Amino acid sequence: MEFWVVLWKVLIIGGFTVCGLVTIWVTIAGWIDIKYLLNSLKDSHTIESEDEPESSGSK
Amino acid sequence: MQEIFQGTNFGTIDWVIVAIYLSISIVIGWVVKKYIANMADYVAAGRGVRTALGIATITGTELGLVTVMYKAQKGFVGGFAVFHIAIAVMVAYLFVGATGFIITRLRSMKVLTIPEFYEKRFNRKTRILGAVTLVIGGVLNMGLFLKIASLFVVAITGLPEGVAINIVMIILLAIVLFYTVLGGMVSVVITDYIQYVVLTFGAIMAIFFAVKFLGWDNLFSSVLEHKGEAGFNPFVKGTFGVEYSIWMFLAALTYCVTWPPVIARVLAAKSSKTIKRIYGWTSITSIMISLFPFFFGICAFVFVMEMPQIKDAFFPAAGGAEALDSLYALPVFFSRILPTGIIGIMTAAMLAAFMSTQDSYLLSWSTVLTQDIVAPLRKKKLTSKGRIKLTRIFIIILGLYVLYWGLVYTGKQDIFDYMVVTSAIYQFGAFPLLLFGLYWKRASNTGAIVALLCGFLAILGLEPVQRALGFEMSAAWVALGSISLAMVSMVVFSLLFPNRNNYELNFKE
Repeated sequence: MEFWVVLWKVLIIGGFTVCGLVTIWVTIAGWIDIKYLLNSLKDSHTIESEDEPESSGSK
Repeated sequence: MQEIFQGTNFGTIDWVIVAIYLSISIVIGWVVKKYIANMADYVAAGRGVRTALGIATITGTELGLVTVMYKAQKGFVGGFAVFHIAIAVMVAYLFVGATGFIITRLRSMKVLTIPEFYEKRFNRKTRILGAVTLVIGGVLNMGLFLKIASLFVVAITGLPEGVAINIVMIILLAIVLFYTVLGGMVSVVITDYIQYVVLTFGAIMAIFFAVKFLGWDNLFSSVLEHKGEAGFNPFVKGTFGVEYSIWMFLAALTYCVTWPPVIARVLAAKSSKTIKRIYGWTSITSIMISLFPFFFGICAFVFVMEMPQIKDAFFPAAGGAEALDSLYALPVFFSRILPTGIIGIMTAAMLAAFMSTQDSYLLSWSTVLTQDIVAPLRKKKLTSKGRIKLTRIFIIILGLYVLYWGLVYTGKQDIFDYMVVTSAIYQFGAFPLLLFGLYWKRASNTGAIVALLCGFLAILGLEPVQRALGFEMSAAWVALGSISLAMVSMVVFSLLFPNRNNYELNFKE
């Protein structure tokens, strides 16, 4: 019985600590990732639209 | 019963927070539309999602409102002993991550869906039957999402029970259908990120208030007083038992190697090494996903036992009024211990959790219906435009079905068990096909068909099905029986009815 109580206490405290640390990291790094994602989408569209007149011109 | 809900701290400021939060999600969907230029942007966010955002979106999708509710219910009923389920899930992910079991070979076949693997490894009939079992299991699985979200809103806000549940269901469904059509993957990952941050910080705040209100040592002593050793030891007589733990491990193992939303990430991963790393990390996040709701459920139990009026509602004396569904324990607990303002944040985060999971599932099963059932059955090839149109029609049909199921389902078993049983309808048939299909060259088409049908027998674990057929058996034993039967029949029927040529097992990166 004592074994189970200790096991679940360790799991709760350890689990919540890890969760808190991961959340802080994901909050900061995730925000940077969103900016990267939107910029990369924007850039890819700019390249596509720059390519467009050339390809339509060649037709 | 209504007076239990009316003691809520949910106020006008909370309604404002919920309204603002839901509006932000819709606005994000609208604003990011300009970033979407083609199908790759819409479906895969231009393949530009990096690790941290990936973890946020995976966790956001996995941590739906339903997950929180049914796991909290399990914690309420089972006490601390329920944590053994979290460990079983973690071990399953660690095992797959360490060995690459099934996932690395599956990826090397370069298929997009599991039914597509069935056709490549076996034949078209297997693909269609596999897709049918997948859709039945998946659709039943999400059938209660809407109702549970509605129960949560009604209980936490103190709205009058009855008609309010149906009205909230209709409003939530309308928002989700609108959102699903509006937002592509870009808006989904951004809203998932916001949901992840709000939900985890909200949950940490809720833990603080819960422990402050109930007391750390009191949590353990109260569970010990009311549940005895069964509240801690999952193997003691009269509690979960060894067969339940084996069922949970098998359910977790088959889930992480067969469930489409999980497998979609495997099939889209950069390399086998990446897949193994994802599974290794997921073993940690899976603990997070289970720990929060289980813990809240236990806190809700201790809270209920200390409040005589609320205790009477959940545990009425023999011959008294009907007991209040234990699903209500979590929202009632939150509505009493969280201060105004914090409840609004938690409610908004829970609703966002519901939306992000519901729209992913609607899209997922509609795609399977179009790609793996209708398209292979049609003699004329479906155009890309036709497929998108058909998928949208299926989304609306499935949305209406979810509303209908929420109105008519009357089963009394734990929602947790309901969810595991419905996903097993597909998983327990799919698992032998993947296992033997990838590791045994003599696995035959007939063996695959019979195994799929035997796995489907897991449906007998549903309480309304047992009631209709007039028998009673624990869901754990039904599950263990159906997966054993599926495995054995795959071997026996493959030996009795072999294919003309054995399959060449040649898997290269």
